[in-house]
Amino acid sequence: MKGSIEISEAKAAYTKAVADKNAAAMLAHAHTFLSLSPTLGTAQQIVNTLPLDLPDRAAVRRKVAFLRSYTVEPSIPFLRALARLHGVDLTVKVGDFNSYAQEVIDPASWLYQFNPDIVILASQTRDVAPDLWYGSGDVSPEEAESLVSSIVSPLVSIIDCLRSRTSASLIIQNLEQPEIPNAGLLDSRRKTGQEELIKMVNRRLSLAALKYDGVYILDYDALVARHGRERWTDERKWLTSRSPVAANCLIFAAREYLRFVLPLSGRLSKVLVVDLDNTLWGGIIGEDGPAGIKIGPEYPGATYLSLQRAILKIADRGVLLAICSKNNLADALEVLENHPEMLLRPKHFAAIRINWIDKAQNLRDIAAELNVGIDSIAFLDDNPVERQRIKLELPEVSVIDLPADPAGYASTLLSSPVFERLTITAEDRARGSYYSAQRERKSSESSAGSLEDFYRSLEMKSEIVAVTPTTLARIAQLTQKTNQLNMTTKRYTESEVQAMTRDPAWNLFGIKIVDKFGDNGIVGAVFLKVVGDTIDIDTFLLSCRVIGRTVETMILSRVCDIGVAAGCSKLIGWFLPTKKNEPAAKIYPDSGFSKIEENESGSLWQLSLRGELIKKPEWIA
Amino acid sequence: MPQRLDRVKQIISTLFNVDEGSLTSTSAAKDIPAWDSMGQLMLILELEQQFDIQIPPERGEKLTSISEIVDFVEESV
Repeated sequence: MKGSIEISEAKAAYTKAVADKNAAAMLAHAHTFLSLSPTLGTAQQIVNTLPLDLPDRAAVRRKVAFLRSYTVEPSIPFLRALARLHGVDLTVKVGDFNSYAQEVIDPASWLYQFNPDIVILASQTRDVAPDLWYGSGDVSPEEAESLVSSIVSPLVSIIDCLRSRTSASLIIQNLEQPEIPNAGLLDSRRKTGQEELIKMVNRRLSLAALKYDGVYILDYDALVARHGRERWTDERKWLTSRSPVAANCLIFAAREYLRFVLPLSGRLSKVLVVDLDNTLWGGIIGEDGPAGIKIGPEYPGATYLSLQRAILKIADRGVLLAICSKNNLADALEVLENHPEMLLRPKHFAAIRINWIDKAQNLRDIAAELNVGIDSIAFLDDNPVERQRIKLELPEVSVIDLPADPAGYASTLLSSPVFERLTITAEDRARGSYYSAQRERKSSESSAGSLEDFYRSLEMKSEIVAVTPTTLARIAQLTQKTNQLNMTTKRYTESEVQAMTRDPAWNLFGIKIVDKFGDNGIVGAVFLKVVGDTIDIDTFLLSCRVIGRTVETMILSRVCDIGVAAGCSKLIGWFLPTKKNEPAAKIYPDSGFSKIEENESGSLWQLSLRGELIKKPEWIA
Repeated sequence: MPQRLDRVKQIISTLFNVDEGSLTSTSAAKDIPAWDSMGQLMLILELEQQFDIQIPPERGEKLTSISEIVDFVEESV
């Protein structure tokens, strides 16, 4: 068997969790075990051993009745195991072969005594419509009409009778197409060929279902097509046991039922919490910077764009979005607010937690802020370590198991059953924007206090470093590479910088920042030139790693001190806009500089050293 | 091979929810209530997936005891 070592490991991990009676670990390993080894044995083992209740998630119990024309039993352990993973305990009963009409019509039948919550009509084309399955579809339009009616009418009668007798939700499988039509290519040359007739039946059935409350069509044809018609059917099992679905596809049938069972059990995720780095975009914003991350129409950025599109589709179903990311707030907001290729913007998120706090704590906070239970949270993160941590710490959270390849992220998200909805209201659709408006109000009320707290919490220490043989390379490199927080974007080579240090008119220094998360190294550089009684800020740049932490204010206060010590009366500095240095545009005006000149290349700003000087932020030591 | 016997016992124990310790190589369908004709189908599906084999129907219906299953797996894997 493929990957048998991983399977044994997953099985051993699950078995150990069962022995340890550790429900969170059981749940985490059950997911892995079943996805690596989707066999009846695995499913049955989960049904036999996985507990239903979790500290913050009580089990939901549902009764499911299968009315059927074929052997559905092998898919039932899969369905029960999958439901169990979501805390849904299913009791399943199955009717006799092809007896559903009698079972529905007879008010004393087992069906009504069982009193199910969900009724699934599982039939296949060859049983419900043998004329269509075995015929060649070579019929006149009039005959087609009566043929289609003769198939749809009995099904509608069954729906009608069930609807009048029970409040159970009804799931009706539609008719699957054959692998190859009986007439071969000729089928497509006929107005009412076999495939067209089956399509007519399915269209008619869908329209009929819309007329009833709580009646849903399970698109069995689409399900079979999605997994491959050839692969789906095990003809030998059909002929010997009336069990048409191949062993490897049983779990797919069960997953399809689960898409209905979860929303019908009220087991749904109301909030999708997403990570940022390597999830919404490729790369790490703190290291690669806004210009270095991958997002946009070209590969690999396109894979992340697809995921963003998928996230918006989930939001359209009434699911709230939130962010939980270990990042510098300002770095991440810079991308969310200003990166031209981003589809998702701050307005799409009902809650935002961009910080260095443990993600489990952040998820608890998000649930509290949005006033939902922790079991209503779904978590999307590329990092398997974070996912495992959440699974073990917060087993109630639905963790989306992303594949290793980002190209599969979007389809994995869209196929998750926890976002399925069978109805949607206008209020559901508007919910996201309501929350994000509320979030913005809240944050403007409390931002001053919380931002200062945030700066303080970073425990930043700064150090001014001179240009020496050890720092020269890094300082020159910063002038070459820094694009965003760079006032003039002047590029200097090492030898140019070296030459400037020998000129007494120049004062060059670098800035080191250490915070509680570690040493960021030299993150900024300032080149000053003294001209008469004026200090000209020739170069002033800062790595985006430390944008948004008031380091720029600290640097300008230092420049003021240098100017005063040199007996100068004012500072001047150019801001030369580029495509990338928008983040630097407001630094001079926000720091009290006034504009004294403007031309097509940029603007010149001035600050008097005779008045009040720029103060060093108290939270930077 | 004792390992194979253990694996088959494990399969029977899980599928039919019986205590693995109570199973021996002579345990058979007639001793286990859940091992009925539907159980037989489930068992065949599970063996086919676990051992990545195809079991002909005329052979499958004869696999009604643990020793018969072990012998069959031995010759097919």
